[in-house]
Amino acid sequence: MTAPAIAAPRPAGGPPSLKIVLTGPFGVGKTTLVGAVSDIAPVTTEARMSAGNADDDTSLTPAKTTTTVAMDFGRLDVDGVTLYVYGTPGQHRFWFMWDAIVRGAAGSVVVVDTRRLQDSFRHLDYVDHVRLPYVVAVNQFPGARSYPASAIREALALAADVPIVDIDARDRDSVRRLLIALVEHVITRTTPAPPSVCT
Amino acid sequence: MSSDLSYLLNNNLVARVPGISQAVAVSADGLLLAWTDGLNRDAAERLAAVAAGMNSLLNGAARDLSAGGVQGNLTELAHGFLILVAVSTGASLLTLATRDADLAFVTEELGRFADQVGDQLTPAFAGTLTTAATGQR
Ligand SMILES: Nc1nc2c(ncn2[C@@H]2O[C@H](COP(=O)(O)OP(=O)(O)OP(=O)(O)O)[C@@H](O)[C@H]2O)c(=O)[nH]1
Ligand SMILES: [Mg+2]
Repeated sequence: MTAPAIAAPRPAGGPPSLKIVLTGPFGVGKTTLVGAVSDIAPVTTEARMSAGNADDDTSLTPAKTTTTVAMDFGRLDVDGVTLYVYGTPGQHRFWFMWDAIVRGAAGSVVVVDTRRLQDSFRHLDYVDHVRLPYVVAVNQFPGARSYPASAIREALALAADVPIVDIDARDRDSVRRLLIALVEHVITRTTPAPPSVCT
Repeated sequence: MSSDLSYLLNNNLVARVPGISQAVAVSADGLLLAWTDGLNRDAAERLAAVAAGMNSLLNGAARDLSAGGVQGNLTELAHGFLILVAVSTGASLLTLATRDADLAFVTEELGRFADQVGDQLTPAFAGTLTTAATGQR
């Protein structure tokens, strides 16, 4: 058979889109967040947790019965931009997937829980390492003390320009505000400042 | 999204290869590039994310087994076969074949198709950022 004429490379038309990676430690609310904000039914890869694994400490999230074993995926529109949100699995044994998940991403959200900020250090190191612009989302669990952004910035040693946003991962509007903050941050980080006018 | 590539999926795979009923083309970073007429866009985008995730999971297994990169995957479903074909660029084709399909023939045709369109299956998200940035201002 004769090969068909192969079309030219994809035209740049269509609505603009951004891939966003959502990361953070086990049980911090990543899957909940994607489920709350996605305009389409999300892809979920939840599996029941087996008991007694030291990696799976649910003492702070007693209602949690499942964990993500591959990734989360959802899509939403924000101001005419289509966001594709990919969530990483939280548990160490799945970290080998991160490099593949961040491929092509424009920005990232690192979710933290104020009761265990240190659990997010590796995620922050990772997004720094792959040079993704990111915002820090503080998921407010009931009973957790709330801290001013300045205290969180200091505890996590965040650069001055990293936005810190308080969220309720279960609340769509709250998560949309978070993602809008991320899109704005990505744009300011990637749009060069206009050259200053010299006279 | 490429309508040309969708045309090729519909006409050169689904219409021409007996047994292939649906297909999506997916960039290495999980972006849906094209899909066949029988799928709606939301489902096609989920399938694209799953294809990228499968690729990544299976490559994790392949690394631990020191058995080289993933070239393809065959999943048996109650009512069909799900076939993943990895393209050299990291992109992939995820295809549904019917239960009675000739799998040897189908996978050969998928490989041929992947070779033909490989160039169009390059990562695409990064290039859209500038559009998004200008669209916002
Ligand atoms: N009260 C409260 N509970 C939450 C919130 N976000 C998540 N949860 C609960 O916390 C638990 C963990 O949430 P998940 O969304 O599964 O966490 P995850 O980050 O996806 O976890 P892994 O994928 O296992 O790493 C669930 O039982 C949620 O119902 C929140 O904002 N407030
Ligand atoms: Mg999860």
